[in-house]
Amino acid sequence: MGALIGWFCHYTPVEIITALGFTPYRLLGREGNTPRADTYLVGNLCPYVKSCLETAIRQELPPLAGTVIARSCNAMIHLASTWPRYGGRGATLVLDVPRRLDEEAVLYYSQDLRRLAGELARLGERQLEDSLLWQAIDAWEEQRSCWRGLLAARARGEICLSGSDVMAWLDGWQTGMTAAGRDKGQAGSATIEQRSRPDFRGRPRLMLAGSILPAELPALVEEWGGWPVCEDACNGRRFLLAEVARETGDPYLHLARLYLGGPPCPRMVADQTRRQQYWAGVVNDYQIDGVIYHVMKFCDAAIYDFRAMKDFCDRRGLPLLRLDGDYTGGGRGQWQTRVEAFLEMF
Amino acid sequence: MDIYQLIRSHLAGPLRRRAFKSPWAYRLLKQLVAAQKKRYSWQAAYELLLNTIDQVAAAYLQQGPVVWHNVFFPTEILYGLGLVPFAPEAAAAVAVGLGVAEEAFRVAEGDWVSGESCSFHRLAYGCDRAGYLPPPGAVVCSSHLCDAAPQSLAAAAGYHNVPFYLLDVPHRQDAAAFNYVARQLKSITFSLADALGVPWDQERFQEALLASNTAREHLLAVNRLRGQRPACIRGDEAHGFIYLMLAGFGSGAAAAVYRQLAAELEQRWREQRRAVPEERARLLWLHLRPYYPTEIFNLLEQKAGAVVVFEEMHHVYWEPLDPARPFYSLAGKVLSHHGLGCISRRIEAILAMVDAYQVDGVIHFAHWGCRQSTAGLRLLQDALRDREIPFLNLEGDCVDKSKYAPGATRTRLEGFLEMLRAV
Ligand code: SF4
Ligand code: SF4
Repeated sequence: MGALIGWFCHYTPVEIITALGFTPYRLLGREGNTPRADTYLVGNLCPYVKSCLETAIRQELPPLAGTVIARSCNAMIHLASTWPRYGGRGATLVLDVPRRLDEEAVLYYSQDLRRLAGELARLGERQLEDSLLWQAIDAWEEQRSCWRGLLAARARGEICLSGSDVMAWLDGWQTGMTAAGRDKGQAGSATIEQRSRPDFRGRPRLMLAGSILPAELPALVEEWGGWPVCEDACNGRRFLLAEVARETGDPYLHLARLYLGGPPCPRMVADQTRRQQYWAGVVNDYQIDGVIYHVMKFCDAAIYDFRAMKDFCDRRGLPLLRLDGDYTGGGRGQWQTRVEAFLEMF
Repeated sequence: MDIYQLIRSHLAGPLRRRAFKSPWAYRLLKQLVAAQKKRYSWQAAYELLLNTIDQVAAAYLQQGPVVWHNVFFPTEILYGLGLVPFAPEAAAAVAVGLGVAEEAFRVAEGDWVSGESCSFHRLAYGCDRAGYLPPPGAVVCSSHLCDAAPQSLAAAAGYHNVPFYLLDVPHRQDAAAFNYVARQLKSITFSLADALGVPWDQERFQEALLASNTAREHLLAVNRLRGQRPACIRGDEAHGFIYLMLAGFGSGAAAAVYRQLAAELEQRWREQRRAVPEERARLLWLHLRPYYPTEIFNLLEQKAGAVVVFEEMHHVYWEPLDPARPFYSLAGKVLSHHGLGCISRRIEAILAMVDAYQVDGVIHFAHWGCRQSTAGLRLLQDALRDREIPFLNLEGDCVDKSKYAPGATRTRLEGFLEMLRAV
């Protein structure tokens, strides 16, 4: 396994990292308060971002050769300024991710990705040949398509999976540290058979949505009687992107199109129609009965995205519950009462 | 002279909404303002007010296609197309003075726009849904510098079912970023003209760029004069002109107001008319100020003689525009903002202001919900500490007066003034 490169935002093309012989390692923060990070990132800022900074300050992370910070929101922009000084060891590399999907944005993003690849290459010993990048693109696509296949089977009801298992597998896969996570053969493997939860059938089928979902949310919802069948989050289904026709020629253009064209996240503010279409697709494919939206405290994107989700659910007559969270693992008592009351509606 | 009191006393409660749409209300307002001309300590402020009333009237009376924009969008494009620009964030500040904030906050809250987001946008959202704002024909927004603006303006465009144009601004200043922004600006300009049915007029567009350059020149003159000791204008008064930075560039009015202000400053400087009788300290103000009555400036300037000699918001961060390359040079303006990219750029700009205005201390007004301005302050604080410049991070909210704690604010200001005296 190559040296680890940390990354946060799901618009970060991990292909570039692996093509250079590094191992991408997603930073997902920690449970608990963030007193140290609070002294560096003052004000009301995203608790996920602070949580990640806290892990770095406390040196709870494995050694990272570098960290790629996509300046995808104000919180990440400030993290990019703070990380090299107070947080992470290794190099800090920043990436600008467009908030729109059109040819101009794809072109710009591809240029920025090429620049990032150059900077990353300087950290290692390998030059990044296009052919190596294409290999990495294919390898990741193979894995993602296995995951997509698994989730599609889950949507069709052919396999009965718990949301908490799916999120845990995805977490393991993204951090690149567990053997199971790297096993691209997840779909159809014995583990999945063993973890089947037919007893969930008959429960309300829920979409969990938000910017980034706290890992424990699906398990709690299950404990309280719901069945998360789709996780619309950047550490959930959105990370799996969507298949795009393979470009010949410039691999960076291909990556830009692949990432910007994936399921849009709340920050893609110029792409809101596509986000609504994406929700409509999920609701139909996964036969969603209701939505639980997790609004990350101080996440402007999520605050307004919830508004849009509310309009969407109202139009379709779908029950919707908003949970506010601070990513620290606190406030569960309140959630329980609200989730149980919500589930009684079904 | 309180313009809001004037308006409130003439346009009482239930009349308010209708009054906005009535031409006589604006005529009356201008007459009332004109009658009090002599009571304005700065004629430039008087002119600014008359111009703003005209601009507001043009939006409410729909004298042309109204385009909503955020305060960082290059308004030269809107003036250059002959459109009527309207900035909901600025309207939010006005709403506070007009006494509709509480109602608007309630509406926003009831519609799930929660108190964790920037109150300028919450307030604008509430005002809009409560029917106080002039409906837009289109909405434009740049993604720099904050996350709240694009989200809230996109929601407004959806609500009014009008086109939304996002100017996506990267944080780098390299050639790729310039091209990306310039191409978007061009496409937004022609899409707006198309969608709103306004004919393209090259001359008018170039005039807007030239007007922007003239305004820039006069503002630079104002800023140079403000760098002199002693200060001739209090920060309390100068803050009123920030509106032009946020919504006026590209209009002839901005150039005229700055010209007038520069002339008045020059004259006062010659006559040695000081901002305060005894200037004991010079301060730099970061971000905006509260738009409801507080004792902050009174305490600082009138009582302690600590004059706010410059505001970060008045910093001219861009080069003159080139009318021969309008979109490329506007892209340059957008990308030059010192708040873009790594915070070291902002710190560098602030340290340059500290030197240029010979300030003794820096106050940052930490507007609740404004992540762009507040989140990275620690690094700024460290940089100022290295230079031994006293710094106060004053927490509060520019438009939500329920967040104002007079006692705590006073204590913090007094502590800061002590610190200044000790330096
Ligand atoms: S949760 Fe929201 S604020 Fe936090 S990193 Fe993600 S998009 Fe940014
Ligand atoms: S105060 Fe801050 S968050 Fe609010 S609109 Fe201005 S820049 Fe954005």
